[in-house]
Amino acid sequence: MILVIFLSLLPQSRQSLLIGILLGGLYAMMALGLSLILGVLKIVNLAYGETLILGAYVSYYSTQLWGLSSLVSLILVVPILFVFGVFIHRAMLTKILAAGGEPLILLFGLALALQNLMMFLWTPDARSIPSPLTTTIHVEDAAISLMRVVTFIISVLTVMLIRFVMSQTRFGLMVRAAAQNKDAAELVGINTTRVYTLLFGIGCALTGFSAVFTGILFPFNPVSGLAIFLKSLAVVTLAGMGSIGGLVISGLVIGIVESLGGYLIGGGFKDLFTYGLLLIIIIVKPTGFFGRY
Amino acid sequence: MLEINNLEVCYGDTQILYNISLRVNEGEIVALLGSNGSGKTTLAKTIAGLVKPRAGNITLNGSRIDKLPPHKIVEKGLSLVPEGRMVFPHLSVLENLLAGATVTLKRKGNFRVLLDYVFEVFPVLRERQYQLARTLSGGEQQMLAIGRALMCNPKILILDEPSLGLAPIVVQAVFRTLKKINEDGLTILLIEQNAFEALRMSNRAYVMETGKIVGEGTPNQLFSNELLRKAYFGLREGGI
Amino acid sequence: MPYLLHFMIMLFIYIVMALSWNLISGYCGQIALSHAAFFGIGAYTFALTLVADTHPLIGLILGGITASFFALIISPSLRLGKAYFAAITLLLAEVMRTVMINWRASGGASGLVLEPFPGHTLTNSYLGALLLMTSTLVATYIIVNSRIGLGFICIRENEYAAAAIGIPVLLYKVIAFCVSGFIAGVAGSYYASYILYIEPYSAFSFSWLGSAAFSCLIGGVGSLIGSIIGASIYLLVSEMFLGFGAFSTLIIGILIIVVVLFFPRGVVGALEKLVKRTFLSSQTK
Repeated sequence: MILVIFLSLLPQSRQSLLIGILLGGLYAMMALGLSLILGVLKIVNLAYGETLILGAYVSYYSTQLWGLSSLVSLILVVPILFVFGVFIHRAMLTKILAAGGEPLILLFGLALALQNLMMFLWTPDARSIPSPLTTTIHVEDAAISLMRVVTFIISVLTVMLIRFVMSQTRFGLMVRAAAQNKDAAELVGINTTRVYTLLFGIGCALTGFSAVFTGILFPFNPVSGLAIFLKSLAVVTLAGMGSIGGLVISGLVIGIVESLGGYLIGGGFKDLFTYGLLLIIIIVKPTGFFGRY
Repeated sequence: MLEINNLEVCYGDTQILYNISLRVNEGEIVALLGSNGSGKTTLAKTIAGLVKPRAGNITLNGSRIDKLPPHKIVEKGLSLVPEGRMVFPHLSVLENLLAGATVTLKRKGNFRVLLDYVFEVFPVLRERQYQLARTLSGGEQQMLAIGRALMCNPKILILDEPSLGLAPIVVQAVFRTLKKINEDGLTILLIEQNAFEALRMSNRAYVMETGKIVGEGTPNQLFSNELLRKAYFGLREGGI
Repeated sequence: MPYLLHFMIMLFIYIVMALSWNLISGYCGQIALSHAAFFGIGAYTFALTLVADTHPLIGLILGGITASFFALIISPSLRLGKAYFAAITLLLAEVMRTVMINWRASGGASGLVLEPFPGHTLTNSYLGALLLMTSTLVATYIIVNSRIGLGFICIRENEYAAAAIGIPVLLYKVIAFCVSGFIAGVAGSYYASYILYIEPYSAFSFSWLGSAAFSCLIGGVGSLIGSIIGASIYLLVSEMFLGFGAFSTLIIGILIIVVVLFFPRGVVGALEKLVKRTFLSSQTK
């Protein structure tokens, strides 16, 4: 805390701090899908990172092959990932869960398969989705790309939107009921299997949505999935299971920690700060700070 | 209205229910009595669709429901208030009731009317409608569970051990309310360990022991049956 | 002939990895996904000790010890349930990858080439691998059939029941994990001692984990013989796809999904069921 305040006073690190805050918003949105799937279906989706990267690749190729603007590619990526999610849940997860088995190995196999599929199809070279906005704005002596600011705004809005849907709509009510007690939900007429499948699909669709923005701001390759999964997991764990609004705060914290850490030690190792934080949280307060369950 | 024929239910390789047959006619309150381990809850879960029978059938108003998933059975008009209440702990009272209205809303029913009815029958729920369900007392949670089941607009209501863990005075209040709901037209199957109270308000009753039905009749008939008196009512020779 | 020896050496290393994974994930039921990290840690430890002119045998053992040390560090996550444990093991793998690519002293992204030490011949490598595999097999057999091994199985089946009958659940899990890490580390060290060249992508490649998991799944988790059969099948399948590139690992990933969905007891288990069914049905006639 003291370190943060100290560093934010230094003009040189202010740029890092600002970037960290802006990225934090994206991290919150990035973690949204994982949080929903974890909170409702109680599954840690080990293939989450790969799913996101898949979405990034779909967006990338739609810009390259068909010249679509990256924002237009959202129209393609989101439904494709939704269908993908529904398929994965229907075809694989329901079988495993009905048999009382452990979905972890299945998800690991899926992650392995996806990662290598992408490596095989699209080579391990790094890609980047072209940004629709190239202007840079200047805040005092810090230079920030407009895209980062826009991403931040969109991310926070998306998280708030999902929170609204979950707490105020009938569908959100059914989801929360099914999450709290599956049998009781069935007994009041909720088709829990369909709710779970839809939710998994929506989780993947949200992942696709954030994938486009992630792919614009960061170069990615098939192996990037694991880092994304771990970062999202850190955001979700810090926020606590079931908390959606908390994701924003948690994302900001992680963004700041990461950015300042990178400023202190050097870019290549900045992820280690996030991983260290995750490790510490898990040992100290695994239920997170805003969690409900 | 509800007919169960030759039901056999197993958990894996262990058989729990043997050749269960019973019926509930429209407008009745039927009690199903039995001590712990007699299979009452298994029967309740099977009727509601959470457990599938190995043999036998269950029909509701002539159509078979034993092969349907639970949410479809609710659509057909059967609602279970499960053992232990199973309210949604992190939802408010109002949200619990709204969740119960899923089926009603699907059928374009008027859930406002139902909600007002539930609040009329259980005024304490209206008082606490914005409170989280897990902050309610046991008796209030039971009322919420019943209210939630009522929101499904059922034709028949099944209750699994509603008196469990409740103070006697609360039990009486709950049972009085059930009697009133029945008078308003709802058929009730009441599964209970608390034989006295259950028999006092029912038209007919069955008795279960270790997975089989061992007795059937009106409350008076059952009270006068020696075996049952000793086993379930804890009475020696003599009157009630 | 030399190719056959090479094949057998790799087979033995895969078997050792499979046995290692089986210990924590098969018998103890805690799915661990860090074995690729352990392998790489062992490999790098050996390489660095060799560069520092230590006797290769010491390097081998040190590789195992270092790996189990890392296992110990992340073992508190065993308290958190299978999902979070699996995620933390992945975290270790990712941390290792990140560090190794950026760390100059270990050769960075281009890796290290090692000088062959005296006695390093193909035949000796083969005999050493054989010895490694046999001793691992014996050791795991002893563990699995001991009281601790029984404790592992109890933990896998029902943790609460295991705790209720007095099994120190967390301790046993940690033991299983650290022993498993040790074995995987030694496997990695041996690989480095054989190949004499390591670099981060291949040393920490997930295929070391994928192969171990696949072998155990095919053979049936909780079966030692199954691991051996599984590893053999894995090697054959990889050879069919010529090498261990992305396509081959892709197939492994898909096969893992298929096996988990359709052969929950492994191919060996499915065969057992088939045999039982034909047997029983013929008996009732």
